[in-house]
Amino acid sequence: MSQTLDGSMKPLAEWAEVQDDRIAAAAVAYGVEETLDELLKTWMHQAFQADLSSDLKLWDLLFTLFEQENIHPEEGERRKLNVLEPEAKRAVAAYSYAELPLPFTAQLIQSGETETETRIIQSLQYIRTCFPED
Amino acid sequence: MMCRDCSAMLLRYMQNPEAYPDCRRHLSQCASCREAYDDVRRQHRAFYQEGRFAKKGAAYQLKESIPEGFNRTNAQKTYLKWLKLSPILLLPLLVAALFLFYPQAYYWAADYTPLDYDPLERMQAEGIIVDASAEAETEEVIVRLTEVAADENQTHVYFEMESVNGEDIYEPFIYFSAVEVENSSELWPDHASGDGMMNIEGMETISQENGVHRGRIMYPPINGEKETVEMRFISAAKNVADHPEDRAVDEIPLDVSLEEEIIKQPVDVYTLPDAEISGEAGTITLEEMYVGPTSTRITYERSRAEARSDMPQNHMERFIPYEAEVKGTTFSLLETYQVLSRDDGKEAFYLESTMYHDNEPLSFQLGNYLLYHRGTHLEEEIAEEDTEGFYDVPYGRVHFYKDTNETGETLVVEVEEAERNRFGNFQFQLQDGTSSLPVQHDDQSAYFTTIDGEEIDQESIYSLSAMERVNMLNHLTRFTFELNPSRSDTLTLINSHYVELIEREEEMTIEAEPYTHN
Repeated sequence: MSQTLDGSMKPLAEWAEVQDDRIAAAAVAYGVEETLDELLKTWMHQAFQADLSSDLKLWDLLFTLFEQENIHPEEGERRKLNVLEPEAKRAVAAYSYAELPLPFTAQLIQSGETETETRIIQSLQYIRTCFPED
Repeated sequence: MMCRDCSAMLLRYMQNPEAYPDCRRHLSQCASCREAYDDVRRQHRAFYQEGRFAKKGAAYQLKESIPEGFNRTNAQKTYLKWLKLSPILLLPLLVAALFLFYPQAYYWAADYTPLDYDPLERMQAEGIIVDASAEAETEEVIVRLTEVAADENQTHVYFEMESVNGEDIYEPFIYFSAVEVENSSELWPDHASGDGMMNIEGMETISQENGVHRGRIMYPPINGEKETVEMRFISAAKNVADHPEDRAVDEIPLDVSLEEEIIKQPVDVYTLPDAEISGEAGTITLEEMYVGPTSTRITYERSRAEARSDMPQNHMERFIPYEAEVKGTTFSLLETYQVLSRDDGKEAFYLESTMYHDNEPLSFQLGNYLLYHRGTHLEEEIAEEDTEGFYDVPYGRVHFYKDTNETGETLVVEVEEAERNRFGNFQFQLQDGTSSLPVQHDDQSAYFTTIDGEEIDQESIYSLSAMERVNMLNHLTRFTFELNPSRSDTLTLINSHYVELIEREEEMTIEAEPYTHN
């Protein structure tokens, strides 16, 4: 996951390339897969301007951009995420969709690891309660 | 394991079941937890599967799209890097430019204490002062006029007095009678007395080291734009005390004549709108500020309040700001700058100039100020048989007592100031009924002055100024003098001044607007 930025954009793109599967999956969770190209350019520009230099900051900026798109898909499994609070949605999207490790997910939502695990479990159970027929 | 514990670690168990055998055992035995685990696992997997089938490759395209603008952005990044470094790289240049184009910076950097700075350096830096070269020598001293500066506020004459034998305790003793301007009637036709005597607005010691005493004498502004000042130094005084901190002077003749050309510089004029100071003693309204190279003159009008109950009806006040802050530099009023009433009828006070030639709106702060109360004098008769007495004064108490030592009978006058903000501006005199007997003072009673109306020069009265009192914060002052056995029976003790320090809780900020002076 670690990636050192050397002050140019290329390593940022290389970092994104390494994270391609995870980014694409997270984009699906937020329904922004169609506009992901543009979002990634925006992300890279902002990350470059802000001189972000850690995985956590890069992912945080990415999720923030996804959340700002304010899309609530009504099809697929991801529609079920709409019943969650934004923070819980980010935790589930990071953990279940993007397969980010639990400790890293906890940092992304600025919470403790145990609390984050409990929150994800409860969120998944709540979704099952809301959508029992699936 | 309890259900609560198991349900809290379902994600960890899901990722690595082998690592949590207790949880596995509990799930095999607890249908409720097993159902919960199935829900969590199924939903997690559903999300995971959906994400895995997402369209990939956006990040690869991102990488391919970079080269087009890469150089530009890379250059921009380099530029930003230099921009971040620029404060460090440019700092020495900025400092050098500051000192080169803004001479006042020197004073800020060198010394924030205005009483210690050398005003000569400022005027030399601004090219205002005229270097003088007049010099004369006697058997004891070399007297030089070193620089002159003049504007519409004041005229400054800088001098040096150097002891020929190199003594470094040489102290000039130039008073009204000891230095005169021989052409004073030409320079100050409205002020001069005609006998060459010109009222010195202030004399200040700038430095005293290695046998050289440097100072400046401040006169009113000269009449013309360009004049020659013809000065005659009549006498000086040499400190003959055993200890340099003590004061015991011998007056020595000089009779040195020197002349120098003076060119009067214009001043910048500012209005001071809404600058009003109200207090117990009345209201002070600041009106105009004249900023010149020699000094800054601020004029004001004063409306008197009702007489205070502890004051005689005829008392009057003078207003002197004790502290002023201009452009971040705090200036105490120079003690030798007197408050004078000019011909225009405006009372004024003087500050050291710090912002000459700026000619732009500025603000400055006034802090504590002094009020002079006159007409509050103590006048008590001391009969020959009186050996001790106490007198209440507005600022405390005066105690006198007679004593006898090996030199004869002495009279000691002690002034004890009861209130920290009030003090007498001591200029005690004793009168024996026929002549006025000035008294010199010393806090440590290190020297005495013989009371002899015929020998003591009226103009050698030594008094403590208000600024000295504020700086000293000495609230017990003792005057000691010998009594002439041949004196008349009754002495009169007179003290005419009383000064009050008004402490301001907050500094007053005054906005000054420049305008064209006609």
